[in-house]
Amino acid sequence: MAQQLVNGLMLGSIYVLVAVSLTLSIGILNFLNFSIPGLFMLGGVLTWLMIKLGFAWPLAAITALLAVCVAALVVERFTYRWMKGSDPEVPLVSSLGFLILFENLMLVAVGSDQQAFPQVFADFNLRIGGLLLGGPQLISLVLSIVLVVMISWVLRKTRYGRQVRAIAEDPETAGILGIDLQRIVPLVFIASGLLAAIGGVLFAFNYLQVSPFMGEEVGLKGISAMIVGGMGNIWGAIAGGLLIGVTEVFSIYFLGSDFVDIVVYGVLLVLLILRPGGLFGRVEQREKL
Amino acid sequence: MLLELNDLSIRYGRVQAIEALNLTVGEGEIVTVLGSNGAGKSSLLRAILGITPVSAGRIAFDGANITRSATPQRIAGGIALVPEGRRILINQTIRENLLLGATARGAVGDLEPELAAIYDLFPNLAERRDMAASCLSGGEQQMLAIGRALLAKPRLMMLDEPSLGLSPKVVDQIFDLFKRLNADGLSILLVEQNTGKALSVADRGYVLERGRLAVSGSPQELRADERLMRAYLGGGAGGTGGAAPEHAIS
Ligand SMILES: Nc1ncnc2c1ncn2[C@@H]1O[C@H](COP(=O)(O)OP(=O)(O)OP(=O)(O)O)[C@@H](O)[C@H]1O
Ligand SMILES: [Mg+2]
Repeated sequence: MAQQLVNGLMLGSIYVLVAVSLTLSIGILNFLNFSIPGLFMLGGVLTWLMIKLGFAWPLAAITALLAVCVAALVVERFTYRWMKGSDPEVPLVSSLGFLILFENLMLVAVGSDQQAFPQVFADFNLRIGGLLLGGPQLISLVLSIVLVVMISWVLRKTRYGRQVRAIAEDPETAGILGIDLQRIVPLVFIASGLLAAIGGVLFAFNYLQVSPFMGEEVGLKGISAMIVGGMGNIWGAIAGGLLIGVTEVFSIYFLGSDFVDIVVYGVLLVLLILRPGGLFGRVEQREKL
Repeated sequence: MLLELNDLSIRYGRVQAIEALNLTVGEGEIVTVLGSNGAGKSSLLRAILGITPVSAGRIAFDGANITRSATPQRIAGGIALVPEGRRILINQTIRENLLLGATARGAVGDLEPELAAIYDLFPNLAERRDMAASCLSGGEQQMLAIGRALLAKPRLMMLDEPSLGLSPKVVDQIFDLFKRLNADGLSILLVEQNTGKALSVADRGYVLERGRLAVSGSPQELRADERLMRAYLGGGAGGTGGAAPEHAIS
């Protein structure tokens, strides 16, 4: 049981990264960025590709993350900025277009099969009183927590954080105060994209497989985690992500893998019926960050 | 001249908000711009700050042409706006709101002495500095908006209807403050509908009527001029179609 809980939390930490990535975009820019699952996938697949080309894994991962920064900026340029002033659905649909574009680019590059990801951390496991903690999993859990705490700290305590929160509350006032939206908004896209991509890299190291479509399922769970946590609230996204991870692992354990999605999405549905604003959200006033 | 507008025009599609306006603010002056709803006062201030684009004409600040400069550069150059409706960020603390005023100055070191000066000016804000700005009354919010603009270290402070919705006592208080800030060397461009109050502090005034200059001059001249009165009645008899413009929520 305790072991399942640990496994669930570790899987959940991946969802947390994707959910927080989506939350930054929604909470700050009011933009549901559908390309984020694509950036998650690029993180994993590009790392795999670089390792296959013979690069050491740290170099491979860093290259992949840099590539994702560029991709995130391209998305910003052609969705959010390009379509500013249009109906809110327009950037949403065009970001979906980027998801499909990224998937198909990778499809051409690596094919549609699941690719086995090499085990770079040869079996280093921790055993703590009967609990088995996989090394990479432990690293990803810790890294997720550290990243999210860091982001939250930057938002709360720094000059840039204040500017970002000002944009989240009222972009026009932010402009009047001299906040340079042309500079801050791309940074938000990069931060959000990097979180998702780090999630993808960690997923690859943990579960040892990548594919061009690996972002879809995780993306769906990430969106669910964000909504069930309360849209636009970072702590809600964390709670939602962990909850989904744990529910998923427990339902596999008790009911078998056929029932996973029924249980996971069933639980989410029930939660949303009970608390329509999400765990940390308010129904009337959407709380931001 | 600190600020100089030459033939400035602003239009939103078919709506001409400001038409070929010439206006100056000298170093150390308090200049007021008067006009009724929809006269184009807010559009004017927002164009000077670079939030609203100009369709023709030229804006010069301290001798430099800033017509195409980005807003952060203009603020860094010494222009600050206290916007209509105050626009306080209610999800941030009072202190954070003040600090945001200094954004365009970049990574300046310690702002504590400047914050302390603002708290001296507005003791009401000092007590609640770490509380969310949503706890403030209208007058206190206006004070915060002024304090926030001061943190930009402006040479020209523009205020858009600062008296709106405030009690006469608070209005007196902030207009006294304008006088004091001006005595310390701050130039002020004051947009108001409260004509009497604005003319009582101003060195010169301009009256706008649907985007056009109706009359300008000293407070004495303007008080005596029937065109000031007329501008407030919406441009003469009868309230024709254009006399009731939809309200811009800036
Ligand atoms: N964003 C906008 N889009 C279209 N028209 C606008 C916009 N902002 C203002 N206008 C129009 O421009 C004209 C001038 O508006 P502006 O807000 O500058 O007037 P104002 O003098 O500040 O009025 P008030 O005293 O009501 O604040 C009005 O006719 C208004 O409807
Ligand atoms: Mg106005």
